[in-house]
Amino acid sequence: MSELFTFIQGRWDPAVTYPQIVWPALVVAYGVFAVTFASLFAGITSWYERRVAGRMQCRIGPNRVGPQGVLQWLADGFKAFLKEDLVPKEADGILYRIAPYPVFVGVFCTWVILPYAPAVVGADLNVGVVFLMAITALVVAGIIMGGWASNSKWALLGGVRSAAQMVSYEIPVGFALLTAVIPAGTLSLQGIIAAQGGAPWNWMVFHSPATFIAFFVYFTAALAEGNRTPFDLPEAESELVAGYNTEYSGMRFIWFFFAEWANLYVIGAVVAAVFLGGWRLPGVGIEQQAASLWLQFAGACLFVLKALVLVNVIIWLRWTLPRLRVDQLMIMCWKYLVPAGMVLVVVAVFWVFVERGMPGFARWVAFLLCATGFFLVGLMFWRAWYNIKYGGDRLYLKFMV
Amino acid sequence: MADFGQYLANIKNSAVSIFEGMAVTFSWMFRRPTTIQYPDRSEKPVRDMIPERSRGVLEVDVKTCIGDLQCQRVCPIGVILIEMDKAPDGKGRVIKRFDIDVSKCMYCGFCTEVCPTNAMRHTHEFEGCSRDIRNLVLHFVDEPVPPYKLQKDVTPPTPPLGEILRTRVLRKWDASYRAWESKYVPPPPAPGGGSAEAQKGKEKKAEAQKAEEKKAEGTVEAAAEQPSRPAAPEPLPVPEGIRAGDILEAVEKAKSIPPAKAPESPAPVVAVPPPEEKAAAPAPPEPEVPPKDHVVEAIHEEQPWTKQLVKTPEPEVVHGNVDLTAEPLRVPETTDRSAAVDMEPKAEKPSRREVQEAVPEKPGFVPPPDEPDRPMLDRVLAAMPGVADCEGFCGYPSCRGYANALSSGGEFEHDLCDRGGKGSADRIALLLRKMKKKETVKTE
Repeated sequence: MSELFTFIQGRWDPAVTYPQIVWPALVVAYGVFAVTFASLFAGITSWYERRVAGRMQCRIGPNRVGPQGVLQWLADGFKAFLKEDLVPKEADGILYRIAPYPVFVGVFCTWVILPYAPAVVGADLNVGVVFLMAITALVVAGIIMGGWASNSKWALLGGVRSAAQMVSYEIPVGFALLTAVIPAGTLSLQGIIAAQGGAPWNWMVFHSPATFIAFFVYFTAALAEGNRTPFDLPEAESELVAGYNTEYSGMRFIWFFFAEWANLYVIGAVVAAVFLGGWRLPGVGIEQQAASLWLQFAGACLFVLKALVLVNVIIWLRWTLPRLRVDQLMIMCWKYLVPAGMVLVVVAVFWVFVERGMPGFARWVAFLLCATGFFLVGLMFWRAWYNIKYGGDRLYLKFMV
Repeated sequence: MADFGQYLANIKNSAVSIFEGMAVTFSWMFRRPTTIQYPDRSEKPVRDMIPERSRGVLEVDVKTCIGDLQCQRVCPIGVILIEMDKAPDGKGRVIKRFDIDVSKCMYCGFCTEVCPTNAMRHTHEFEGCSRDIRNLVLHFVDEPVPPYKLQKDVTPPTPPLGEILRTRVLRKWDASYRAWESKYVPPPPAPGGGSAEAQKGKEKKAEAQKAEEKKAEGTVEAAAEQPSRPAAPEPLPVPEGIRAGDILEAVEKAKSIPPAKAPESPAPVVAVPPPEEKAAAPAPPEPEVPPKDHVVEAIHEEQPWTKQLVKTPEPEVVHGNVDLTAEPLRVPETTDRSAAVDMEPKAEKPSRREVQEAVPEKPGFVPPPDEPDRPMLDRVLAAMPGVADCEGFCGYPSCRGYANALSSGGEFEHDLCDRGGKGSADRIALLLRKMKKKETVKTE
């Protein structure tokens, strides 16, 4: 037990304490944990999203399988297992069969760098952010593979759209992450978290005007990269049947959606780590947190909580905004997000000098931005309450219907 | 610069509109969903939630029905079927039958408007789901009921809406037609009209006749009794796949065997013409047996494959629900009886087409007798052949079921009877047309 404790505290030296075989075992254990977590998350989110969508559309959503429908995702998954695994006759069999796996792997490999606590992380890569962008590009490969190998017009159109979209939005994602990397001075996610503080005004979002805007830029671009509505053009049902997965059925079809819903968590977790302070607890130093098992656990919980709040926001956005047109999508990227990203990087570099030269002013700006952020959140609640009141409705706070 | 202003305005507009839009959707998270969780989680039964004057499935309270048949007359589709009868004590009439075919009703509400006592009403019931459309013919009369007498200053009592209907609708959507039939279709009536003694006499006659036939069977006279039969068996087709050698061998064998007996008469059909007709029929000459048939017979006896072709004739009792003693099958007397192929057992079942061709066309058609006292169901049934080896082309489990559906108006297609062919269909059509005219006029 004490060895495990030292391991979790990060003071453990694998070369000294244990034979070489234990380290691979731990790596496998973490892999199993990550995949299990991701799968469960993807499954449960598929149910949760439908419930939220139902409420936002004035209905209830699935509530029949199990209490409040919580087992709906199991039923759906079971159904998919029983489906025939169909490969179209004219499809490129091998490519068609392996296409879901790059998508799946591309999303799940990001768990390697997601930091839950000072010591709980798959691998604290010193090029963490670059790894994140590189491994996510696998998804594009998988989607194009699926679209091409299906030998179907709809699938091919979806795949090509997806390629164009993802390659375009890699650029604003890169710029936005760079804006956060410049003040932190490191590409490692643990390093970026360590550069922030536990209190909201010490978070990276409110660090400077550049990072404040970069937060929104990254969030938007990450949605587009993850094929989430309003940027789900590759799988636009109304125009492309189902896009790149038109020909897929059964479990292979489910893999794509597994990856999509797991990607929700990845977006939330990366934003939480890079912009919202990650596992940092307010008023607790890094050494103090690393020394205590319970503080590590609390930090991990806080990190997951932040990620889940962001997942909620993504779901909320999906059921609010209509899908963009292809031209609008490209205009949004190349005319708005990319120039904004360029300016943001320049401002971020400039702000390093401001921080050095006028630490008081920088701190004041951080407070102001923090206040703005909380004001926006409050404004949102007020607007929602206003809509209910003047829509002639009553507040109904029961979530389980 | 103006362009740049527009550029910034675009950003601002999109940000504001997204923010407002999200506020709207967010607000719905704190409002009550309007979904009514039909059918099991609504606060009260849905029939109590739908508007008061909505038109659901029709129901009738036969206790307050005055039997004026106005609803039946006003119905544009013919959904309602009412049968009136004389009361058993001889005074007045009774309502013998009151059927509503919900599957055809279009909810126009005419019948409820003409009803003077409000016996006919639209309920709030709407769940009539059933796997068999015949389950949707609702029968509102179990025992004959005397019609309600309208009195001055007395408003007829009205039971709660839908109470009667709920006892009449089959709730199980996959309730089988047989269950429905056993509950609602009247059992086969006592044979024929007239007194019971006459009935018995008739039955005895029929029995005696049958016995006679049995006796006569096997003898040459039996063949003589059936003038319509082709005297000699038709030349048998040699089945394919049989080598000439086999036949030659058989012929060789046949030569050593004494000549076979005369070809047996095929099965007599029990649906015999009435005795008078029999007597009138002249006995045809004994069938000649061409000598070459011996060879064929010999082959039949020796070869196993011939068993398929020649069947030992047995008295084939025509069964089904035909009441033979009361009503002889309508076989056209004037034409050659060989035309009534559908009555006779065959080695292979004839196709529908064959049967239809075999049944004579109009010149030999005999219209069904005019028997106003006999229930329509029986009359329709008598117009069907009711043969044993029916393939069930009509889709009903029994001839009785099909006849019931036809006579109650639940079935429009009168030519579904495969074995009856065109003759049967024409007779049924005539009967049904008569029924329509009669029942509308019968109102006294």
